[in-house]
Amino acid sequence: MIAKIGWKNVWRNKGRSLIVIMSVAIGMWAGLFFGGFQWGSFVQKLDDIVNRELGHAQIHAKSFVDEEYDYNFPINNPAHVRAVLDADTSIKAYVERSVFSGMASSARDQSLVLVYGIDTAQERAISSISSMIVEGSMPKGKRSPSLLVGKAMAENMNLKIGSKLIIKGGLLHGVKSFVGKVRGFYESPNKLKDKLVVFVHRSDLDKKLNDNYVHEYAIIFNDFDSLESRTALLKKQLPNEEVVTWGELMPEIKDGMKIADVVMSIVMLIIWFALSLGIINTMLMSVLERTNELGMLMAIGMSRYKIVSMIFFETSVLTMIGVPVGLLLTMLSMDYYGEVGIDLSVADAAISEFGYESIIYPKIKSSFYFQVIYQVVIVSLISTVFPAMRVLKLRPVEAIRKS
Amino acid sequence: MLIKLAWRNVFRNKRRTFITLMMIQFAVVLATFLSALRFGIMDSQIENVVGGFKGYASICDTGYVNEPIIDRAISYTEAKGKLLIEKHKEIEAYSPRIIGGGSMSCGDKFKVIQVVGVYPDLEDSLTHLSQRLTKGRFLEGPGEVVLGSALAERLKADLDSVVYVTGAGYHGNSANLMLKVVGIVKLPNIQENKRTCFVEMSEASEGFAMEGLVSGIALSFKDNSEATEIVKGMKSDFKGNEGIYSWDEIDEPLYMLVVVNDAANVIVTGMLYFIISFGLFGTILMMLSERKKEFGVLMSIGMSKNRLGFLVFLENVFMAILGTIIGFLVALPLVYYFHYFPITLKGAEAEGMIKNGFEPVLRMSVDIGIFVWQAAIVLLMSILFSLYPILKIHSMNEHKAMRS
Repeated sequence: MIAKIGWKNVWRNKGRSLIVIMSVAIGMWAGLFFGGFQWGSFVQKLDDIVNRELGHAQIHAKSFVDEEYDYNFPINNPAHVRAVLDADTSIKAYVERSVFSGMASSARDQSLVLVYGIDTAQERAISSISSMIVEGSMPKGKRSPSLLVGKAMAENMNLKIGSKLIIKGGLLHGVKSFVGKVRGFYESPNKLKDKLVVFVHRSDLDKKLNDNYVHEYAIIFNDFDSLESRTALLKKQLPNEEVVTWGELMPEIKDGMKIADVVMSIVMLIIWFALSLGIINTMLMSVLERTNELGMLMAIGMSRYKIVSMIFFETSVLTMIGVPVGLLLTMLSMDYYGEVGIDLSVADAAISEFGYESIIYPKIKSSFYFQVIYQVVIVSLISTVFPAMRVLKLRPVEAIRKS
Repeated sequence: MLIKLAWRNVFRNKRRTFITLMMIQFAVVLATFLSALRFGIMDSQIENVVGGFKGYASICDTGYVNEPIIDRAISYTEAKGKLLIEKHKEIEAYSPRIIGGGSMSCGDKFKVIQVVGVYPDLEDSLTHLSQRLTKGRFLEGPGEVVLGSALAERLKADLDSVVYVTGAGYHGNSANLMLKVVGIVKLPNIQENKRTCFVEMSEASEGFAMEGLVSGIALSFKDNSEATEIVKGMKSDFKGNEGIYSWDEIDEPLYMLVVVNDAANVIVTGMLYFIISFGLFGTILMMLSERKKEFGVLMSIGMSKNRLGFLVFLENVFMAILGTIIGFLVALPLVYYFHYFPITLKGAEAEGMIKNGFEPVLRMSVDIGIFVWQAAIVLLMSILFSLYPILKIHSMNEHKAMRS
């Protein structure tokens, strides 16, 4: 019976109901879309940093990172590390790298460099260096080492394809050096890296420096979400090496993301607050307008409890209609923007001028949909409490007299 | 007459006016709150990166920004520094520095470092290093050195340790210094904390053969949030090989971070406006449906639709202005409260951040521009919505309206 009256009430004032429905739908869309925007940029940042550079976790010798990637601190027993990694089924892929830091000099200039000895075939499984090449090709094992140099460094040092580069380094046990030829340029989203890192095939580096050093293992797990626990497990298995997650290697980015997460929940709170204001406002109007009528219902014997549940039923119906509309709006806009992306350079042209990745592709985790639906329902029910309290305060005799 | 009538109408139906004012007021508060939060976070991020050491602006050789080497130096005398702050009242503090690269050894440890030669009192007025000391004291004379705390750890150096610095001096000279550690300082930036040490200016200028020269003069302003603008205005005062550069020109990655965040900010606030505008529009629609009968009566006793439309418009504008003022007055103390008692993250994650030199605090910005802007935007939005009733009244049929 209550449901029937409530249902009829909802359709009595169509304009008002439409406003509540649309508020719920738009609030939900905004919450979801913003969440998708944040998640999308998060995933992209991770992709840039984790997949293109670091991997999910890395293994070094104990003091290697503290000593600023010093060549003289290689992993002591690479065979053992390899055996452990091969046995671990949670690992999707890993690569071995050697790192040589030193001074590069060309015909014109000098610059500090970090030479990464990589196995190009192995590297494909984990990072996407090859996709960042703008000119030339990946280093291959040849007689004279071929180098892949950052575009920014090439501009600073006036390097061309075929230029010679002498790299000197190795501080503790005497100076070591080798000569390489530039075979290609790459451009990554990280400008600082482009100025510093040079790639060379690992076998070339080994041949020139006469050591078979391994300085770094970069690991990709099958499941990104379990990387913390998986890394902890590796730490136990390899107590003599330093096992770190990408977050420990780049704390400033991890912390930045944590802060962004908190800000995100505050923003969601603000959105829900704005939504609840709209609902309170409309439902309060609807109750106050019907003072007369509600008084009459009470006078003929309807209990306050029943009237309050009628009001709640009305809000529930409106929310139940608003939620699918909001979902539809979200899916349509995600379909479009997930494909085309949101171009941030609309807001500030400087972004694209710097050649920065300015397009963000929003993405929504399916669990986030449920979270938002749940929150919208809670918010709209809580918002109804305030108008319902007004009903409880009504005194039938006075209410009927009001017109 | 219309103004008087509109003013009275506003206060006739107290309930509706109250709800509408609340709506507009909350819109201003929410929009201000969101902006203040995001701008505040940005400010502390900038402060974290440039405030601790680099400075909000720097006067240096025009080539130094792209190629920070010791040979790109500018001349400096005490008179030049005095003249600088006399001429530019916006500058709060300045510190001339010699920044040299080299390596430092202590016992059998050996590290690549940067040596910063400073006038202790000028440097302290800029970066307040003496407040960041974890051990010992700040520089008092030549022969002394203050180490970044991570550098001291890496070198296993402590107070009274003797360290040797070798580096590349001006024009191919080689620099050799023997120094006694008198203090250890914790720099907010992890990278700088790992490799920076400070020595007295005379020690550095002798050691690096830089008599009368410095690598640059770091500056901070009375209002650092205006640094970019102030520097733009000062550019023309520097000629020849000298230039002035603001933090966004010196630190490109940080600038990009700020720009991207700003753009995301625009999108987020845009969404909030969208939701708010729905609420505002809702109150207007409600008002129209509630007062249909009243409008019908007014029209049938001879009030022209133009006058009626204008009357209702005026009412809404009054409410928009009132609501905005109230919102402004509510937002002001609220945001100031969260500026002085900021939201602080707790737990293990926060401790990790502190270890990384990151303050886990969300401090709101109290830049007055934010308050004015957000209030102005909401006011504009509400006035825009006030135009809608004019259209609606024009299409109204007085007979039907009266009977509703």
